[in-house]
Amino acid sequence: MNALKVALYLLVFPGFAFQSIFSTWLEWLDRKLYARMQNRRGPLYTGWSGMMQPVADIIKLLAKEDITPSHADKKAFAFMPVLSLAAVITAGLYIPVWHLSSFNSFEGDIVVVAYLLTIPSFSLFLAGWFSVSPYSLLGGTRVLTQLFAYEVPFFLALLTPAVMSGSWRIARIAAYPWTGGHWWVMPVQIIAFGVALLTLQAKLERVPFDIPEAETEVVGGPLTEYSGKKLALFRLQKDILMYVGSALVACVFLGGFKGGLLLGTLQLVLKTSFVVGLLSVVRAACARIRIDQIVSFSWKWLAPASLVQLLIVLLIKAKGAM
Amino acid sequence: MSKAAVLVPELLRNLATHPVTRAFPFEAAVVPKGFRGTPRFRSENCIGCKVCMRDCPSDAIHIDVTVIPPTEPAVEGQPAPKPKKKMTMTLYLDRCVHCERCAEVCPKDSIYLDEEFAMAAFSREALKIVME
Amino acid sequence: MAETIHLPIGPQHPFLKEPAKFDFDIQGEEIVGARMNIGYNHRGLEKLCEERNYYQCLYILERICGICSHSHTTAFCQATEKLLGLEIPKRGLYLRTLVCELERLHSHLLWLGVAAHEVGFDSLFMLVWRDRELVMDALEAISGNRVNYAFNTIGGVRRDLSEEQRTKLLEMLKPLIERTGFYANIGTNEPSFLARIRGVGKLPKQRAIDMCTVGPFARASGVDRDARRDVPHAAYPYLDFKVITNEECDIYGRVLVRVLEILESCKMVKQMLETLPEGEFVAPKVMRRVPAGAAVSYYEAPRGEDIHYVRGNGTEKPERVKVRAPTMANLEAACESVVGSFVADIPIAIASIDPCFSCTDRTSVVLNDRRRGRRVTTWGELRTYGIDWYRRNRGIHF
Repeated sequence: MNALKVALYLLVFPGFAFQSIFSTWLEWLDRKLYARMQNRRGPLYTGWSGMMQPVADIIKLLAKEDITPSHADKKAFAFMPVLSLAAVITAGLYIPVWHLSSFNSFEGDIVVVAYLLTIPSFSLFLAGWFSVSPYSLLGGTRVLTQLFAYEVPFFLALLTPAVMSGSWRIARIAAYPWTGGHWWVMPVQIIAFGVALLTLQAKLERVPFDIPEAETEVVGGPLTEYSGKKLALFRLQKDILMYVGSALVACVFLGGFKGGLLLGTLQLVLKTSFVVGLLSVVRAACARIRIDQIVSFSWKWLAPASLVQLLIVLLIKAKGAM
Repeated sequence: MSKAAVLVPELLRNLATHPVTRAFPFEAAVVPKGFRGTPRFRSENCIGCKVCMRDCPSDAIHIDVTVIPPTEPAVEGQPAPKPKKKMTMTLYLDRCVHCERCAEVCPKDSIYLDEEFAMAAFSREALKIVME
Repeated sequence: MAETIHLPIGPQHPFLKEPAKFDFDIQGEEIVGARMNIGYNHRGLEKLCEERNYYQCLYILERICGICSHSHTTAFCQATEKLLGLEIPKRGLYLRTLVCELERLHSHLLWLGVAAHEVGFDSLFMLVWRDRELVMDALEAISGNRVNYAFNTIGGVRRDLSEEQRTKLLEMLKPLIERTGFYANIGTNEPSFLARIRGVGKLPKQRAIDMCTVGPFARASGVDRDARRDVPHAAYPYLDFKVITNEECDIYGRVLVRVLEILESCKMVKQMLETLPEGEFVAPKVMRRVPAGAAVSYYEAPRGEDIHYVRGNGTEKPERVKVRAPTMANLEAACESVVGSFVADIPIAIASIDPCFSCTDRTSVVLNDRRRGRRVTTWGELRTYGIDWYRRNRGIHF
């Protein structure tokens, strides 16, 4: 029975099936909000108000012809989408979706999740490296440069609530505001919330940080030579990464998803949709900045801001300890 | 840094307004009066001068003159009844650029452009319209 | 230390709206060399014009470009009217210039949206194009079509402007001016957009003059040239307008010039609508046979100075029509302005000249120079090569 339960967790909820389906809802929400902010309609006809459009896109890609460049390393070329998808789904298994604790949470799992979330960026670079084309090479090196820019502020912003709550376990960080009247930790960490949102936008490679995949410059960046099933897997990976990233931010900053199976899942939907809504506003409000500008923006503004927030949190902890 | 959000109020306002895109073809598309659509033929006015054929930039019009022999027999002492001419216009809609030159240059006002714009077809032959 | 990679862009690329070939040598992200090649959009229009009468040529030349179609017909009509020695009635001139300025409005708004799209600012792209629809609906109401207006004829214009259309146009101007002010505010204040366009694509004033650049591209480098003021044509001598220049010499300057030109054109449209003279809109008797002679006409298209040369020989068909589009003058300078900046700057720097390769491509001469790797292949050789290749490499026998 235990094996069946674990299989259910891994494959259905909160594993592969739930993540795939819920992330298409998040992609639909993002596209619809982005379109409505520009006075357009967004997806409209597939499903109710276009809700099946992301699913339709992935199914269409699965049916298309799969071409591998003749000079590319075939095995590595085919392995990259699988690697990134696997890493992202595994990271998603550690998000506590009900009972404020996931089925396999342990002390230090926030570090494991943060590490697993860097694997998609590396696999994007390797995808660009192994498809031997000037556009994908250029896009791949941009992915790495961008990783260098946003990774430190991302980690700092994510680990600030860990310091605040005194634990490295996502479930406990999420539970902290609800215990002992500590609700004030949520507004106090607003700077880290902002930094986490912007670095999450950079990790997802969306405007203003989508220079690796800038359609008007490098055609498709690292994914230029991908088509068919492999591109479908990369797209699914991007959607699930959006789910995992926003769920993680919602967990550590917005107080998790407590309240049992039904209420917890409802909170999950609402809070991740809220975070994705904020990401859509950022996406609609900015132009795409160049790679050197991303690095300078990140190190001039994001990293110092997250350090300032960490300082505030340490001062509060010190005052509390006195 | 505050200027970074200079577009955000407009974007949030747009969330509350109705989208400006029209859901064509589920909503009708409106064309103004005077829109240059498909050329149509008034056979009774045409005199067969073929000026429209000469001036069409893309060779899209062809006028055929068919002579219809008189139906009444000739009567002694009376002038012979004249044969009637029937004009037929063949319009190659895949060549037409809708410039309205044919209507402009016709001396007898026998071509006019209607406001029809949905003229797609599945084969070239379907776009060859014969108007009598 | 970094090796030089050769990056080919085109003929197919998402940032290019029309095919053109660019070859960049890059080291890392920096561009160290740029070459370009055009000719992919050549349709033999000048040859087509030699086989058709002057009225048919109007509609051929109109389809050189979708965005500046009225420019080409106006320039051609002006050259032909010079040959015929025609006097255009004042109302005809005003109506012609009205559509000219409306076309400038829609073209500059289109460019602003496309420039925003090239830097990834899709929100500005969608919002600008939403307001461009005001101009497109106005053009459709006046001329019967949104592009390729077919408004000009030799001797004047083809349609009159009714009083109702005139008042509607005047009403359309008010929201357009307000929205353009809003976009000017966004374009000059939004930090991510400014970061992409400030200091990028620099072309100093002397280089702009040396490379014979025209239009808003030159005016943003401080070159004070505008055919509307310098060469009296159409109704421009009767209108009161400013020529917008600034000394920024980069893409930011070009954005400023075009946005201020939008506001200036709105003022001109208002002037024309308020002082529209009564009378005929087309010259009464226009001969179909154009006397022998040659005429050159200049016209300030939205992209710059458009030159048409028409040679008549006493028949109904022109002997030679030559079109020099403004993009032809600006392309080399655009290529040069990109060297030394980043790969990420290529789309916006090339787009800042408002390129229209359809306008540009006339005949190109390719030398059969095997030493430098260029070869000219005949159609028969190409076909044989293709059949042979598929037989050898794929086992397909055609």
